[in-house]
Amino acid sequence: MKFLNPYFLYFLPFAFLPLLIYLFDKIKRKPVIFPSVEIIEEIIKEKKRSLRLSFFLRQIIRTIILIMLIFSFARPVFDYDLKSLKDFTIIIDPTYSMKEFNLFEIIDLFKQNKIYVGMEEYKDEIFYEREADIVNIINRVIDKENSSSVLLVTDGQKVNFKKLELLSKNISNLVILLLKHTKNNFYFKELEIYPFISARLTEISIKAVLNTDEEVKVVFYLNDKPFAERNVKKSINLSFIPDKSMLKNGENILKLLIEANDFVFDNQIERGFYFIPIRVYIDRNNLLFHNYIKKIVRSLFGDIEEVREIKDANIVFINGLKLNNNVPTYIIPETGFDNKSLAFIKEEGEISGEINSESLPSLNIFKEIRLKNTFRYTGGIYDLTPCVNAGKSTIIYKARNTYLFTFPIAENISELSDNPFLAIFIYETFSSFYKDRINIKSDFPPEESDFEFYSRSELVEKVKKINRFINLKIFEPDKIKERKAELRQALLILFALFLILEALI
Amino acid sequence: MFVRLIKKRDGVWMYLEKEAIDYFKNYDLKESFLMKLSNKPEGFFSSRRIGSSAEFEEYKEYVPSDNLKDLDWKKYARTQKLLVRQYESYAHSRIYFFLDISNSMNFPTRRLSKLEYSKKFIAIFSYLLLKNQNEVYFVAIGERSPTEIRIHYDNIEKVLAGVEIEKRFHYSNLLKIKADGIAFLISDGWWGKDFQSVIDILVSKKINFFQVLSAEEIDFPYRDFSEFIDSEKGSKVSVDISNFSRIYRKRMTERINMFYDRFSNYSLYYYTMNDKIPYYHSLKNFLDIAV
Repeated sequence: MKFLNPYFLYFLPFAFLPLLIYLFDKIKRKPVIFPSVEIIEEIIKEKKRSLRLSFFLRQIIRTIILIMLIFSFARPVFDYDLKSLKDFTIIIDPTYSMKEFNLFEIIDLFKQNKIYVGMEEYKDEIFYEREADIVNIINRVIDKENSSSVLLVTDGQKVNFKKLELLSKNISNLVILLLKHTKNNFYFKELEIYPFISARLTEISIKAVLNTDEEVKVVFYLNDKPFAERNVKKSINLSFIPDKSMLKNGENILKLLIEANDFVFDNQIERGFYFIPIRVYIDRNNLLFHNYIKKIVRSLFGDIEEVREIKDANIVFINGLKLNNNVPTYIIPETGFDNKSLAFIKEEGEISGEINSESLPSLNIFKEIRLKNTFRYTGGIYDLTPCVNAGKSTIIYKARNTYLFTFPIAENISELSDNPFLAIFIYETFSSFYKDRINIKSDFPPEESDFEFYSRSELVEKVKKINRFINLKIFEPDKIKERKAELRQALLILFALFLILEALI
Repeated sequence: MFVRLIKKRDGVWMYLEKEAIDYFKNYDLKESFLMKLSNKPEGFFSSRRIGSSAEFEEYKEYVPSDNLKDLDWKKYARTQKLLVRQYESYAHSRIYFFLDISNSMNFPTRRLSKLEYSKKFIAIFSYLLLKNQNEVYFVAIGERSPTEIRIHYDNIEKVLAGVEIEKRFHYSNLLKIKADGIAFLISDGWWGKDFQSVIDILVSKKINFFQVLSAEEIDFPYRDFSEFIDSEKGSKVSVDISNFSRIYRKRMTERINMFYDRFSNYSLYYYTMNDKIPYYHSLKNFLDIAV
């Protein structure tokens, strides 16, 4: 037997107080010299043997009463067979994270029950969904089935347990079969991915905080190729520079896979992918520029999504001097450029004088930039070459460890003929973009970030707080064939019966 | 009337106490009371004394304390005077006090025992009786053969002080005293297997019964698990029954009621005295009932 509130058991010794007081008192008590024990003997003689013990029996009963009261507060639970769940309607969480489990095995256990996968009644096939409002599903299913008992099969990843209190009052029994993901059962509490994309990928930074203290093996894939593997404990802060060979001509969808759980799926591609969407802001004030850049970017990165706000983008293409004042900026002149004065703005925002472009590391980076990819444009083929050879003023933006630069694009595409240059800007709000909203192109976890991820013990604690359901239970996932039932009600009934008995004795 | 008041000396109880005497200061023990108590004509010595008896003696002028029943209305009609009939007195009755001196009467031990309580009761009752010029006799009933002692004012204390506890109440000793008068047995009634025999003797000898009990015997203020030792037999008995006190009290009430029924069937007085109530109050209560 287990107890849901085991701390009450510390009061158990107090239950024996009546008995101890009685025994102690009896030992201490001296015999009384009484005038005559006539009546006493008469009474004793008349009372049967069992009643002679009734005072002692009463102490025993009182002790039992107290024990039962303490036990009822401690909420004992015992295991019994699943057969007692025959009146339950089974609702299976239909979200993708449930794919890890062999749900058919679970379904087979409950074949005598009415089974729903999400809102749909189960008919030999399971259709997964990206998200599901579990509370709404439960309410609607019980209305449909006119049932008051529900067994919810879930891994807890998509279930907003805060909303469980909105469950229909018609439910009197809610049992949660909480499935545990195998091996590393952890979730990302926070996940921040910063791809810094310049003319080529210079750096990808990943920060993640895990909800487990266990060491987790994390494998990083880029475009289906593993490139990094780490044993992570609690959090990971990883930066890497992907190899150019990882980028494929014309096929580049930046795809970063973090494989952390030993998931087993039929479709390997769907394993724990975290897509980094390429969201592009292209300055629309210059339509020619806009169209030009769009084609370039698509040729490099494949499908992109164009956004209308700079803050929503992870790549920003702007026409020259449009700046966000909050962005730390380096502005340096370039050899061969027009010697218009440019200001050097330090990270702190201080403006100092002109700087020799040679001295800045960005130039080195700039020199290293090579994109050997070519792209096709209706106007011809252009090579992207280092901007040292570029004409106009150069503005360098510093974003984290990447120095990026831009230069005004000629209004006329023909002016780019020799040295077209790709200006890329990454806005510092990139990380918050992922925190608030992830636009997943395919239906796959991670789940939306408004769901919290719980460790199992946290989940149990959260569920226990929903006091409305006396019968709210959580299965031990490794004891799938068992169910724990609370003895509390039975104990309270027994307690009441014993009280009556004691009054009668 | 001679009354000697002796204070308590050397731990010996004094029996005829001033407060009891004061309590009955203006009390007149009516002869009709003795008439009622007596069932034997030979219990009375007739002496020529104006009192109230069956035989008319003379008239006297009515005073408020006179019994209205004795008013002669015919006489009043004729003479317009309120005159009361006076009868020949049957004063000078013989009254016997049998006192149980068994060990059970020596309870409780930490305050006035039943025995001492009874002695005081006898003392004041005797005082009242002697005041009305009755003959009072005292007999202690214990194990030894009893002796009948006549009580006077000047020997009340001595007689009562000389009584000592004996182990058992031998009821057969009741038979050894003729008791040709009004008799009272003062006892706690714990006669064991002799119970029926005692009742039979009391009934046959027309002995009225004053049962004196301690508060403990009536209320039984003991825990449901206690051990008791019989004061006379010395036997031990353990009680371990819940609500025993309640059962005991109920049984005691039944016992008292049984006594009452038995004695009243034979027109004998049965009166229970609780040592919580002062003895002279008990006597007064009894006299009020009896009268």
